[in-house]
Amino acid sequence: MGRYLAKRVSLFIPTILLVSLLVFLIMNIIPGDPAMMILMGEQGERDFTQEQIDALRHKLGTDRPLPVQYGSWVWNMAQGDFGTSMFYDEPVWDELKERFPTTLELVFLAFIISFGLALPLGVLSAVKQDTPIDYIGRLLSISGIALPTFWLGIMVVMFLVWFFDWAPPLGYAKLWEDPLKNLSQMIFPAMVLGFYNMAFIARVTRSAMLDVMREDFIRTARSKGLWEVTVISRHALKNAFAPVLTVSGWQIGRLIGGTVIIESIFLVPGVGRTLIDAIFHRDFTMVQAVVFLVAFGVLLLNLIIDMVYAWLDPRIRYS
Amino acid sequence: MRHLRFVGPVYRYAFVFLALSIIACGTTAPEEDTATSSSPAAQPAATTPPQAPMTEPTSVPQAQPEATPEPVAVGKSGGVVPMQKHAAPRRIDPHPSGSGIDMSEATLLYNGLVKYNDIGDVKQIIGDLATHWDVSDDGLTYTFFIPEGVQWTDGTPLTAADVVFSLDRMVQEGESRPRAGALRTYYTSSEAIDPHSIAVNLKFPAAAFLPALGIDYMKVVPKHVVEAGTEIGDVAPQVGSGPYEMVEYRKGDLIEYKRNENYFKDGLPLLDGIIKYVITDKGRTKAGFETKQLLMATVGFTGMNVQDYLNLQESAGDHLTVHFMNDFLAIGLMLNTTIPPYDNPKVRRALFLAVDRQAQVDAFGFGKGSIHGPLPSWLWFGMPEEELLEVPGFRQTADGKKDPQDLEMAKQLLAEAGYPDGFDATITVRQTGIYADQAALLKDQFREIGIDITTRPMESTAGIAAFLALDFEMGIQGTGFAFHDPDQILAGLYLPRGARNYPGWEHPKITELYDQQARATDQTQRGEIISEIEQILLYDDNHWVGLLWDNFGWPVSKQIQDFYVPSTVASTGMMWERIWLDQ
Repeated sequence: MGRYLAKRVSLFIPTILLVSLLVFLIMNIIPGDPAMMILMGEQGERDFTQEQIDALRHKLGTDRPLPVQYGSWVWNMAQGDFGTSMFYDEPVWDELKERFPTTLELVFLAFIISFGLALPLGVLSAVKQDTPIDYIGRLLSISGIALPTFWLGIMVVMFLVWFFDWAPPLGYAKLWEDPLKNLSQMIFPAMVLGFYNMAFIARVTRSAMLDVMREDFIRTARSKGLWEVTVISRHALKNAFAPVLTVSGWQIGRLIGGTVIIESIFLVPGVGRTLIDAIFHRDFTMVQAVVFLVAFGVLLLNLIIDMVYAWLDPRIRYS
Repeated sequence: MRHLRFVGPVYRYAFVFLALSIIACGTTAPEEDTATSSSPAAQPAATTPPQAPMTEPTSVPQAQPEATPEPVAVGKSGGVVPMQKHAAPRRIDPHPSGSGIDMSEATLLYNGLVKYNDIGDVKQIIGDLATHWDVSDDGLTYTFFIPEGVQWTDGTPLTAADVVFSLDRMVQEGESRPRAGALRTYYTSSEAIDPHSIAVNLKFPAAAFLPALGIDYMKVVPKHVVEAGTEIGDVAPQVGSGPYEMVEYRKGDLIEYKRNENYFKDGLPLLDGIIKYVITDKGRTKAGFETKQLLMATVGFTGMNVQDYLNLQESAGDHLTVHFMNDFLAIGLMLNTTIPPYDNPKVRRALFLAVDRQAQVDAFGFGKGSIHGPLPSWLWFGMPEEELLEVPGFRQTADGKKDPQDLEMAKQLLAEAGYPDGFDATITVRQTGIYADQAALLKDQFREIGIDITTRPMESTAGIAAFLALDFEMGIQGTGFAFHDPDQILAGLYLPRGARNYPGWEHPKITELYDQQARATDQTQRGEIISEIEQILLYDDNHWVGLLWDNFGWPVSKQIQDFYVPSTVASTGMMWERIWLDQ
């Protein structure tokens, strides 16, 4: 187990460095000079001199060679300094520490909703294969995979307005300040965000369950006279759970990515919305920090899932 | 010295009485979308506010100053208005700001010497801090008088020293002043005569001085705070003098204001507070207005286009009105005059002639736009549209089609320029608004003269960067104007350092005439000089091929009373002192 863990951790470091390099290069390849973005205003109205641009570039550090900028960024991050927002001129971490809990709450809710629905749906579909229940389950899961999340979000908002003359309240309320308002703001984006996740996990669960249900040990369990519920929950589901867990872990990364659009549609002041604003403003330090931290989180999560997977299935750690 | 006194209860009430009497005798009612209804206390005035015709010329103060009493607050007090804000502010220091996003916050916190009237005739300049002002006989010195007892929110008195400091700061050399810098053309110096009067010296008698001074960027900021090193640009509670105080800013979420209880204007503001919700998604914006979560927009730009506004008006017309700010956005085709073939005046002229502007209006105006000549047809200094339609490039056949004569002239010019078969060209468009669709229509129009267009769509910010770096051949761009004075529009589009003259195109004669008209003290003479400039732009050369005067929409709940559409989209009359909530 220790060797397996060491192997996984040793892969983690180069991966995260590669991610940081990619993020840095992408932000520096796309057109748009942060100094110019700041000086010209939102509509590109000029009123600045070359000297002012040069001075601002120097202040922002974008006049340095790219390798120096990259090295400095990585070194500072290694020490916990994510830099200063180029656009807002405030420490990046001050901004993000306010936003991360909101995004994590949204992701957590979406995960709970999706996992809580996907598991029974997948199991039911498998157990009731080729029955109306299975058809409904499959329809839901195919819809969830096919429908773009942003479109679904817009549709949900429009549906609420058209049919209930209601939209989630404006002005974000923190969970610990006003739980009811917070929930009414978060429940719909969480449902939309989790829909794809639910569909995907349901399909994987159904597929895994169908495989397991055909195994000899299930027949043996049934022949022992066990209740069907016991056969499914204690024997089938337990053995089908490993791939479901793996896929669920991957899906958390997708959930975090999905917040970028969903937070904008539902006005959730989280990291996703910050990222959109930062890209628009060419706020390199903010974009790099957000993408890096999200990538770091996803990789860390995958590492944890790999460990759990290895713990659940000894074949993994000994292979 | 002529002495103009603007306030004083007797005059105020006398004026209101006179206005009401005139209105009661049959003053023409304004267009429906100009203002909401007004207070029960002054119902006739409220429902038929006096409106100046759009063709009224900019006043020339030294010729005939016009005394304007400050309107009396007559609405009901109380209530908090939730507003939509389409983007988060960055820095709210009014002087270095060039953005309506930032300005619309700063304007609540500070006062200017003068401002645009926010009730009634919105093009009229009235006193803000200044109770009145004198103009010297030579028109070179303005003396402004500010009242005693005005305080900053930290309790420090607001004096002439703050005003002088602020005026100097607005024109500070070496600092970026995208909007406040408009004063540089006119301002020489200012001095505090005493704590409550300030003399402002101009370079020349300028008709545009007061219109420039009235925009929302020309605010008086607290000298003692700025000199102490406090960053007044931070979006946070600041020491101000204005009608509102910022209570809280939650970045990317909301900005909350409460009324300034010690505001120096008795009884104002009428609202208890304002909450501005930052909503970038237009679907969510629409939902907010439909469900009455939002009662109005912060500025006349919400991220929605005209068609969206028409849809909103239809779906929520029972409780809100979309006020269309007619012809506020000039959309033009920019030519990069630094590269061939656009460095050739004949090619530029051919492109100018070949555009079918009526088709642009028909396709993208949604019944609200108008033909874009070099200067606004509806303002006193622009050629009227009926005359414009006689000019090559604007002519139409009897059935409303592009006049083939113009296309023949364009082909002839291209041949003379060495492009008898036309050429291949690229139009860069930002992926926002209607620009890409306009380019598609231009592709068809230019094909008529042999020019094969490829559209180069770019993400909005990248597109701006491309324009600034002159990395484009042709590009479509829209622009608004801080105030509707010839100085502002001519300088913005047709002078070498104009905000939308990215390639720095220059016509020496226009530059010369611009200077002359800015200094002209006689309105008729000024109009003649501007007309000469327009003739050059119409018949000789132009780097900006006007396509369409487009519209902004301003959704406002019917609960909001005494809302008047400001005279420009993001620069005037947005202090919200007198709007009130009919709860």
